[in-house]
Amino acid sequence: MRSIPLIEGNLPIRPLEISDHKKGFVELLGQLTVCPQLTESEFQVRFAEVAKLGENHCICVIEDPNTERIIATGSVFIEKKFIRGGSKVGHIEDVVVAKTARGLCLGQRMVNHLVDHAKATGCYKVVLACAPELREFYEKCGFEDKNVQMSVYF
Amino acid sequence: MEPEPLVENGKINGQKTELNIRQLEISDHAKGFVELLSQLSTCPSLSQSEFEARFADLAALGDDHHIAVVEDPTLGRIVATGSIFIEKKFLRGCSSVAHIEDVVVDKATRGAHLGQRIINYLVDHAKAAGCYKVILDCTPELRVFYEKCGFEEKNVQMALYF
Repeated sequence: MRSIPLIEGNLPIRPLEISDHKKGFVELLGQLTVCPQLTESEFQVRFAEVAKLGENHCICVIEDPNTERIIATGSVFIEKKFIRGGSKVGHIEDVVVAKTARGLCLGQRMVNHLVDHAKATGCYKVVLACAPELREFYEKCGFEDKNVQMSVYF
Repeated sequence: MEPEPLVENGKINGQKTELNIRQLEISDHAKGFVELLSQLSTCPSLSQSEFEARFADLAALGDDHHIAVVEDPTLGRIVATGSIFIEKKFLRGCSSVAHIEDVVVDKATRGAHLGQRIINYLVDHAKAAGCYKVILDCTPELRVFYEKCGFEEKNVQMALYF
């Protein structure tokens, strides 16, 4: 029986690439929420829209080299404000680690990477919203409970 | 010293004044826009050119970043503001989510429902832009206000300061 290679804990984190469409990026997002398949061209259009924002919208992934599948992702976008002397705030969104790749601290590594990106672009803070059960995970990443998130759906 | 305007029942000093919502303009720098924001958070003065630079950054995003203001024409001052930016996602079939930020109504002009009007305006903008939801963060005390605007409590907001 072929032994399944263990996923190393220090896989690199890199920006999303066009070719990640074929590596299960959209399927991975489906572990987070409703995520219909995207055609290659739908993916490319969205990719181009996000790429136009440059460092102000950064989507990162971790690829498992054994399977050539994306096993973790997260994004941060930079909001420019007038307050605080024209400050910037980083918003972390869509963090997900594949169910088969949990327990390797990939989530924490991803969040740290996104936080570093926000710091490097001059943000004064990073914010994110999460379910109450994830509070402890994000506290381990250095976040603290701040406010309530409210939403309205169309 | 001029007395503060008395705002009652949607009227200012007994007169019905049109308080329309419009998009932020460059000239709002001279109308107290930054000073109003300081009622929300630390907000040092910005020079005209600092303001213009930030204004240009946001204008470059077009409809994806929209700052609304209400000007009191009797004072030539901005008395309410709120902003919304549109985040483009891959999930949910390449959906968009709107984020409301920096909503503030001048302390001296409260009671004219400007807060609720600004929120409704921003939510309409998000809907017209094709967003599937609008989200915002607020202190627990403001929960009731946002519920009146049609929002419901969803998640916890967490923050990390540098």
